[in-house]
Amino acid sequence: MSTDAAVTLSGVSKTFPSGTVALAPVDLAIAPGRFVSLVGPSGCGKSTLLRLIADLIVPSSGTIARAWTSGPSGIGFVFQDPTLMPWATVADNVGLPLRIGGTTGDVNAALARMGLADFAKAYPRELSGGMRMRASIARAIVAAPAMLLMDEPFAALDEFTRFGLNDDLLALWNAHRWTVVFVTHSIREAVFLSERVIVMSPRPGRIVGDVAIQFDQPRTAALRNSHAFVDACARVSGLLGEGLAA
Amino acid sequence: MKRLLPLAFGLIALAAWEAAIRIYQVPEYIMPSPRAIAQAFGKDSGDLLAGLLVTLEVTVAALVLAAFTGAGLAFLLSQSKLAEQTLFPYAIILQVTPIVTIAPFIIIWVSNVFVVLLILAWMAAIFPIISNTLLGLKSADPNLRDLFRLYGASRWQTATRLLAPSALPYFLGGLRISGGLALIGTVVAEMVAGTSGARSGLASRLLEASYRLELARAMACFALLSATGLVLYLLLDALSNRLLQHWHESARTE
Repeated sequence: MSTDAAVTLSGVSKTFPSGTVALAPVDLAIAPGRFVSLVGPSGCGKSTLLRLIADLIVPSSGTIARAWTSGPSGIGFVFQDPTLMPWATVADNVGLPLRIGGTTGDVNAALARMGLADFAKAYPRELSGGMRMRASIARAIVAAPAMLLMDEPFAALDEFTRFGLNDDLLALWNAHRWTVVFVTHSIREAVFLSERVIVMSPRPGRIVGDVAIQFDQPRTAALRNSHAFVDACARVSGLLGEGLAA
Repeated sequence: MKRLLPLAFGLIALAAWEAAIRIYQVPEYIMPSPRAIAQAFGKDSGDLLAGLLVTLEVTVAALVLAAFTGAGLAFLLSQSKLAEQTLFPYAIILQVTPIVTIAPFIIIWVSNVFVVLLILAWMAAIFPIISNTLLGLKSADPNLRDLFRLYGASRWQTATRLLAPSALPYFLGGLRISGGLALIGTVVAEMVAGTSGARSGLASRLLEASYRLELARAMACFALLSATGLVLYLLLDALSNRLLQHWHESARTE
């Protein structure tokens, strides 16, 4: 495994106090500037793996080497729920990492990039689900973090909103090339977004496949209808099936 | 229209009361008519309002004190599971003990009457604030807690930017209950402490008037205390709506 990876996990496992093995020992290295997806059915440990990388939970065994510093300029996290503070305006929510970390960043630019320029003074409850998620992503990127972790951020959205956000996220990543680890249970979403798809399987959670996705950037919506795209999805799907059968 | 309904009901009830007193010619020392009560109030309104002011001073001081100490204690209890397990049962004891039973001791230990009343009213008012605020502090979104941790927020930043706003709606709910309890506590304390003279509160005056069978005056005191409790509730309700108007579901939007 390379030593210049953004994050390197060596023999990392997680067993919860209840005795549930959420993640069997895993080895994984993610190179900087890459867009990597973790795909698998529920219970496969993909969210646990993401939280381990974020240092929100500690591993039961193994070590994790992280190349970023702690704080907002090191890490951004997007949850499945927008997780906005309901008492604060969109601008205040997006500016939170800057105020906590004492770091500089441009709230207005982050809002503009996520198409929220006109909603800076709005409160979260005045926004649609898709807009709230945009605000959540704007908050995660406002301090330009080295590592962006996303835990099924679009799972609760309808397909139109989801495709729109996929396109925007990809454009954003192409412009900045942060390292992104993206958790999803949608194969199509993972293949469309990522350069590398890690396939996971449950009971116990483990990695059963590692697929390189080599489509040219920037990718466009038309890619979703190409044969190569469908083939790549089929490959990931096949690995998922093998993992479940094993 | 909806706001007028309770008022109309009250007026009809008062008219029925007035009529019943006149028809059955009930003497005033048994049951005064609304008119007699109004007259009693008109005659001594300055005196009664001075009494109300004394009662209000204690009530408001006790409520403010309970708000700050209650929120502060709730915050301390929320910071340590051990502290909560050790001390919360005593907060419950404070709540379930009728303050009348503690009053004799406080009266012996403290010579200043205002302070005696303040302590008793504070004891009556503090529990809903502690228990509601504690609930609110514990209800902060776990994902937001994780986010604050990820960003390396200090304890102070987490307390002021996350915990305090999360607990605010609960705290205000507690405050609305405690407003009424502070008034009840003050009234009970006045009656037990047996204050008298020019600096006595409305409840002491109510008791004095009833001893002298001046029921019209006693009921005027009673009506004034009821109205005060209602106004206090409406003020705290308005405060709550104002502070939460932009974001909390409980706040009414126009």
